Amino acid sequence: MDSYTDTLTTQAQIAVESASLSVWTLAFGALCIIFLIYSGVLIFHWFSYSMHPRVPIFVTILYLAIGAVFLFFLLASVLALTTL
Amino acid sequence: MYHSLLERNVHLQTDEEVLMVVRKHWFIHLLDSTGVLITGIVPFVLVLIIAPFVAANAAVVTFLTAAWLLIVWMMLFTVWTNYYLDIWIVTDKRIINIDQIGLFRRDVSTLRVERVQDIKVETHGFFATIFNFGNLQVQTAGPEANFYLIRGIANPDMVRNAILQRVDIATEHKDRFEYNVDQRPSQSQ
Repeated sequence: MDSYTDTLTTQAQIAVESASLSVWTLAFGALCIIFLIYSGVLIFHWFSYSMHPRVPIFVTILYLAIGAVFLFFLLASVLALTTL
Repeated sequence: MYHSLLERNVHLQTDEEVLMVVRKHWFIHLLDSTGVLITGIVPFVLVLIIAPFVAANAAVVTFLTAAWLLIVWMMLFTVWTNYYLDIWIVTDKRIINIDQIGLFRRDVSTLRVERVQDIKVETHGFFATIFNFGNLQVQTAGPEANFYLIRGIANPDMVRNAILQRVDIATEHKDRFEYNVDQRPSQSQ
């Protein structure tokens, strides 16, 4: 394999890798957006229709805290996929 | 504070008293939640089954598992929201049915206690008998007889008795009022 073909192969590999990496980033971004919109609607429901004033606050904290744990694992795995 | 939120949400009258707020039994909620929770176990089972045969990237597995669990968490929370916001409010004047059907559909119907004609309680099954929950069907008077149904409420007999008690009071009050109107001498005499 000459140096020209070698360079082309390397460039192709880099292109494939960057494309596949961006897929993970895009998936993470899409999940974040879906989670945020969905959370907004849910929390709006709780604050609008709950009978007790304190319940929506606790519920929001619980929902976002557990959701944040999953988002943290998603972010960590995306960083691992993009940096390694 | 409790009443101010309630009044804001369902527009209670000033002299209207809330007798009880009825929600579905926790067993119904548990059944709904169990289905979603079982879905949450799927990635762990898959990893256990597939791991010995496929050398998968740990980061990819973590990403897919976390994404799956995030979606399951949102589904579970939706089930919880539907359970918590789907209620019947029994007041001394009305029965207010707030039906939360999914995230973007919410039906609020009101029935005056004078219009209640009959109430039927259905308790079907082993768990319904053990945990004391069932369906409550309210039949209304009027030109078109309607049925208001709430499924899987806790202590349906107690709720029925409470509503019927209010119906009796309202009917008695109405009869007395109508009697007085009939017995009242007219102005022309």
